[in-house]
Amino acid sequence: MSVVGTQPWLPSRLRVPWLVDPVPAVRLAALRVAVGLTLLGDVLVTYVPHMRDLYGRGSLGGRAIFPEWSPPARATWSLFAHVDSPGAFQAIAWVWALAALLLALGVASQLSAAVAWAITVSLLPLNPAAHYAGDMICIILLSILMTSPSGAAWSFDAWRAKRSADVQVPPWALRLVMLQMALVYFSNGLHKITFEHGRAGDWLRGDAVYAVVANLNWARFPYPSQPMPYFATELLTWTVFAFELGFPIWMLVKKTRVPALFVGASFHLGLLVFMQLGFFPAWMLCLYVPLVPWERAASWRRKT
Amino acid sequence: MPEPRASVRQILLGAVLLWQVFFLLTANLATLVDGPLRGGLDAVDHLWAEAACQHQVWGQYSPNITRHAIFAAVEFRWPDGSSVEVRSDAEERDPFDYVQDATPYRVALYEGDLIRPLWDFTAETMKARPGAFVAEASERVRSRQKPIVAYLDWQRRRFLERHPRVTPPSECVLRVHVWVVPPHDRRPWTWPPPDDVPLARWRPGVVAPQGDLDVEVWDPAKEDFVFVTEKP
Repeated sequence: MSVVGTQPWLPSRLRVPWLVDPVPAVRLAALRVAVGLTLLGDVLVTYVPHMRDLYGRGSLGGRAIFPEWSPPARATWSLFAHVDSPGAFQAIAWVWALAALLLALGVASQLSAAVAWAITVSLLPLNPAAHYAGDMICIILLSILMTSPSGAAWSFDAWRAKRSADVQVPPWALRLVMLQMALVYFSNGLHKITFEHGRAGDWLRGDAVYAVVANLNWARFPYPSQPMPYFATELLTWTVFAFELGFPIWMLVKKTRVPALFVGASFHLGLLVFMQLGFFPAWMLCLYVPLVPWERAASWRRKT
Repeated sequence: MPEPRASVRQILLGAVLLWQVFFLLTANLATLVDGPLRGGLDAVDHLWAEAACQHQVWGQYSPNITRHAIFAAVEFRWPDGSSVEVRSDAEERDPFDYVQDATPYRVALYEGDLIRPLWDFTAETMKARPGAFVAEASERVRSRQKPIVAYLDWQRRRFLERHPRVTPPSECVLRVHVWVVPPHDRRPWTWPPPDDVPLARWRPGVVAPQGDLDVEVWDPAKEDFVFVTEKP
C-alpha cells in the first residue's frame, strides 16, 4: 500500500509505532472535509452578513480600535492590517468561503487550507472581541491540514492523480489532533476544580449545566421548553467534569476509549442542538471525525 | 541494513512537529509548575501562540458560571430630554418563546465583552456596593474605551440611517439588560423582569478633562455618570 506525504524525522526513542506507522489517508481526508464544511458554514452564517459591521472603515474592528493586539505590542500579524475598505473585507469573506469549499472538495487541498488559515489568522487580531475558542480550534486544524497530505484521498487532487482511496499517510497529523484534543479537555477540567471560601465551585456542586442551559445568552430554546429536569443537569455536570479531567486516561485505556468518545461526541451534539454557542460544537466535533474508522466503510463499499 | 539518511524536508518537519508538541504540553500544563521555570515557559509559549495564532486558553464556563444573562442596549439622548433605546439583535423579545440562531453571534460576543462587569451586579447590588461597581466598570472602560466608542458610534450611525430625519443624539449611553437566572426549584419557573442599568456614556464632541477618558461610567451612589481617569 502506498504512503503519501513526508514522514518526519524523529529521534530514535520516539520512533514508536503510534508515531511512525502509516494510517489510512481517508481519516485525514474526513478531517479535511469536516473542517472545510464547518468553516464554510461559519463564514456564511456568522461572518458574511456582518463583515461590514466587524471590519473596515466605520466598523467595530481595526487596528485603531484594538492597538494592543497589533505589532509591535504583540507578535500577531495580519495580511489585512492596512485594508480599510468595507467592500474589500466583503470580498475577503467570499474568497474565504471559496477556500473552505475547495478544501472540502479537495481541490489544491494544502493551498486551500493555507489560504483559509491565512485569512482566519489575519482577521482575528483586527477584531479579537468577536472571536472565541472555536476560532482557535479552526486555526489549529487548518494549520495541520495545510502542512499534511490532506488531499491524499477523497479529493479532486487524488482523483486527478488517479490515486486509490486505500493509500496511507504518515500518522503525525492525526496524532497532533489527538494531543490537542486531550489537552483541550484536560485543561478545561483543571479549570473547573475550584473552591472559594471553603465552598465547592459550580462544577463540583453539580450546578454548572443548569446555569448554562437556563441562561438566555446561551440557550437556543427557552429553558422551560427543554426536556431536562434538574437532576439530569446535575448528572450531566459531573459527567462532563469527569469526562474532561479524565480524558487522557480514558484514551490511554483501550476499554474506555470508545465509550468516552461516544460520551464526548454526544455532549457536543447536545450542545449543537440545545445551545447557541456559534460554531463551537461543530469545531469540537471535527476533532472526533478522524477517530472514526472510515477505512472500514470505504472497504465495505468496495466489497459491495 | 543502515538507515537511509533523512532529507532536509524530513528533518524540518520533525523539528516543527517536536516544537509544536513541546508548545502544546507547556502552554497547557505550565499551570501545574511554579517559579522561574513557569515564567520562562510562559514567555516563549506566548510569543509562539501569538505568531501562530494558537492561543491555548481552554477554560470555558469555568471556574464558575454567572447567573446573569446580559445584553447590551444603547440609549440615545437629545438635549430636549427625549430618548430612545435600541436593543441588541441578540436579545430575544420573548424569553419564553424563541429560537436563537448563530447569525448575530459575532456581534453578541463583542457586546458581551464590553458589558462583562454586569455578570457580577444587578441594579440592587450596584446600589448596595457602588464603590465596587464603579471600580469594576472603570477598569472595563479603561481597557475597552475604543471598542465602547466604536460600538456606540456604530449603533448611532445605524440608528440615523434608519431615521434620516432625526437629528443626531447628543449622548449615547451603553446600558445593560440583566436577566437573573431563577433558581431551579422556583415554581412556577419564570423569569423576573430584567434590570435595565446604565454602564457607560459617550458624548460625541465633548472633550474629557485632561487625564480622563472620553467615556464616563455610571456611579450608582451619585446617580450620575463620572469621568474615568486614564490611569488607575
